[in-house]
Amino acid sequence: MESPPTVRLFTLHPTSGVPIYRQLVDQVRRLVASGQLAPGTELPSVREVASEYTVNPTTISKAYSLLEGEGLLQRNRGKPMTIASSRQKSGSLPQRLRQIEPQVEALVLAARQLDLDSAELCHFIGKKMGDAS
Amino acid sequence: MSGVFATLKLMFTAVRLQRAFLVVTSLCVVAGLGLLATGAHDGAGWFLIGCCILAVVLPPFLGGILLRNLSAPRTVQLIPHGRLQLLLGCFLAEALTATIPALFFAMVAAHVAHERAHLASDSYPPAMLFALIFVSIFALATLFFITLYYGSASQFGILAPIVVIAAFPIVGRTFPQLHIREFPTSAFDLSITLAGSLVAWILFGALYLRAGRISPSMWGRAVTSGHVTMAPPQWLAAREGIAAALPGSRRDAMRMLLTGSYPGFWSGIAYPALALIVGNLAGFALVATGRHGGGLEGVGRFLAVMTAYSAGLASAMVILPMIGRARYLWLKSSLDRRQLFREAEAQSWRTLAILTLAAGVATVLVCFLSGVTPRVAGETLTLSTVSGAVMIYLVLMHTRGWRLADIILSTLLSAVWFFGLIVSVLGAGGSPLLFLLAIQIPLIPLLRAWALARWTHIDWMINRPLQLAQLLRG
Amino acid sequence: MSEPVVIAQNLGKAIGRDTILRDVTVAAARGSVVGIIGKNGAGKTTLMDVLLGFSPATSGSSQLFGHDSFTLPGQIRGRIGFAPQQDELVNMLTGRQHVELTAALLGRWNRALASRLQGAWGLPMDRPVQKLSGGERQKLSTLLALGHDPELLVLDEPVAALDPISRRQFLQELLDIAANPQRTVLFSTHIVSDLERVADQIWIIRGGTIVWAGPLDHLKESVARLHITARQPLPATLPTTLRATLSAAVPRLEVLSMRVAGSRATAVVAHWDEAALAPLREALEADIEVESLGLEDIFIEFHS
Repeated sequence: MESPPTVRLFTLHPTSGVPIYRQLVDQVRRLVASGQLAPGTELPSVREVASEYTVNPTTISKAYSLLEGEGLLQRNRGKPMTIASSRQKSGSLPQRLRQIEPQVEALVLAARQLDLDSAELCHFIGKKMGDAS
Repeated sequence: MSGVFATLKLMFTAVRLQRAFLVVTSLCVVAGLGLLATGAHDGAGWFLIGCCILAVVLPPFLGGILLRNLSAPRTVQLIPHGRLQLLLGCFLAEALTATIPALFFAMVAAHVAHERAHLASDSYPPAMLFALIFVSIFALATLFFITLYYGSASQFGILAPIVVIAAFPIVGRTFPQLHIREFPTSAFDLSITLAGSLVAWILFGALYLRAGRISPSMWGRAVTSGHVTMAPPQWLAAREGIAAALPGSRRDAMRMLLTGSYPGFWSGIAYPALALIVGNLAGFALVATGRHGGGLEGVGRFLAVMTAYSAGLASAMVILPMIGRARYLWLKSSLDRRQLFREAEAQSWRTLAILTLAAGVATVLVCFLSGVTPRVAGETLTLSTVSGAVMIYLVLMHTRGWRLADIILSTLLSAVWFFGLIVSVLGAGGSPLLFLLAIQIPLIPLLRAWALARWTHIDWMINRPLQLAQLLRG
Repeated sequence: MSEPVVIAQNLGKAIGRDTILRDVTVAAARGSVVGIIGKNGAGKTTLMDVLLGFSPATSGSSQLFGHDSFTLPGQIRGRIGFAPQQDELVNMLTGRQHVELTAALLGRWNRALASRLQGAWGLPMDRPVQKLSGGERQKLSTLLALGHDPELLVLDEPVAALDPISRRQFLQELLDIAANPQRTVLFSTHIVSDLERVADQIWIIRGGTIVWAGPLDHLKESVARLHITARQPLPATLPTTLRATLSAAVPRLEVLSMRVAGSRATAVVAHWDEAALAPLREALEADIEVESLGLEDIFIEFHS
């Protein structure tokens, strides 16, 4: 039985060095942060995702549990998981900073290679954040 | 053209038994030469050198089958002149097969002529003897080679060489001017026979080289792959609805996996059984039509005995693959190793029973036709059945390859069986017979216990179901 | 870990003087999907043979469902589905006859699952097996292993001869089966990308020993390729220095391979820990970029 074609929400690469659950977690975070997944949106079930991407459901389940632990997702009994409606500030400042640490490190490395100093970099970042809000 | 010599070598070394023969004959020849050199026991010396003939007994029979198996892989067609090289190799092998006995007898004749000059006029000149023997054996080897090449393509093929042998007396009777049943003695006869053989090779070669896809031999696979021993032909299966009748029960399913063939009458066992009966009768007919009159008793007895004992050998060949095939039952049936042994044992007894029955029928018939006393027939059958039973357990014990115990047991038992054969042929009943029975009957429970003990530790990594490739690699 | 279904403790297997398996200690929990990877001849098939009781271990022990493998009771063996590398099909029988044979022996058969697979794979069931192609034989073999709803499914190179579509279908079926937490799957394959989809545990066999046994996610997170760019040319003694520095920071760390050229170096390490990054940067006075590797690359690195 073919299920109706769905627009794929995520892009999962099983052969990547990044474990599947982590890819999913990162993507959901990004989608929520960018506003593409509004609070209350239903997420496909573990079985659906596993079937769609032909991956082990345990890894999807692990991702969803992690996101639920962070407060991004909400489990509704008998119904699919949804994006948490009240997006409480999940975690303290250090915790939140730690979440973007990989990206910052990559940025710092690139900046060093291009001979940009921290003042120039921070100015640039400030401009970008101003544009985004 | 190195392929030609590679093939030639392969024809004499591919099969393990053949290699054993080569070793034995080399030793004999060396010993014989030694005896001749020292001048003592000339007769024994020549006898030993004569054992060289043993080395060429198998190639005419196995040659056709080997050629088919060597030609079957598709890659052979891609090798430049691949098939031609194989063919030439086989041709040379058969020529060699004929040369060696011819050479031997010519040397004996030359030696005799040299030693006893006054007999020279009676005996054949060595050259003539050489030609006679070479041409005759070459013709026979060619005949068998080609017959078995074509015969091994189908399951029924086992009957082909038997048909050929049986055809001899028939053709000889119908066309007496062909002198088929006698040796070609005159130069004219020799030339005709040799020419005939060569023509046969050329025709065969032409057909072989131009053939499309050559299928691998059915027998090599049947005997060694352990998959199916001569399953019923498709037409029979379709008509009898055998396919639909499969497999009614767990028992049938187990039997099928163990033996690799369908249950029911037309199981793999029926074919060797049929072959035993037909072969025996054909052989008898061959000899009987040649002798107008009496004197058949000796021949009859010999044939009867050989048939009876071959039931045991045929059973052994069917039983050996069961050891490897029991692997298929390990996970699927709930039987542990002891119980699997009992299953295999039951199948073995069933096989022996059927084949002994077939052999018994043939033996009794031949004995009746040749005037052998029923007592001798009875003794032969008793002895061969007991030997067969011992053989079953000896084969079932073969779970760890050739250990020292296996070698010793096989050698001793072979001696006993050989002795039993002689006893039966000579029709000497009484104490020799009782002696042989007394040795073998107590062995049966002993060997059974040993086999059972070995089966409780059977390692199916070592005892894989045999594959043809393994046979060729030796 | 939920109760282990398969346990091997210091398992060793030698035939004559050849040691095929050496000191193998692994366990598979109920409900897990274990992928076994190794080069040809590394011992995967032998490991399966010993675990399933076809062959006795020469040292150590191997247990399935709490019973010693070699003397597994019949009922437990009936709950195992095995598709070996060299298929065990009888040439003259058709696929349907094989199914009947297996059903008759085991007394159990999931008709729905079997016909779904047959249909999806387009398996001709009424043709003698010897007339089937290699891929079709493999599918039949796999069908016979799955069809009786086994609790433990052991597959040895089940997809080697299948085209990508058939393989994807097979993986889908496998996942459906593995979704049941009562079912455990062990499967060995060369097609590493399949494992990355399906497996949650990975065992890597090399030369008869297990060089890694653990969750796939953890494997990917703990093997990393470090790209080191120093401000000065790196000393020739870098490998030793690196190892020393790393073991000071992360004792369990293992350097799998290293390449040095001028002021750049690449090192692949196992048991990597993020915490080692900062001290390493300081010690080497270099920028370090951490790259994570896919399973195929990891496998190759373990063999370099």
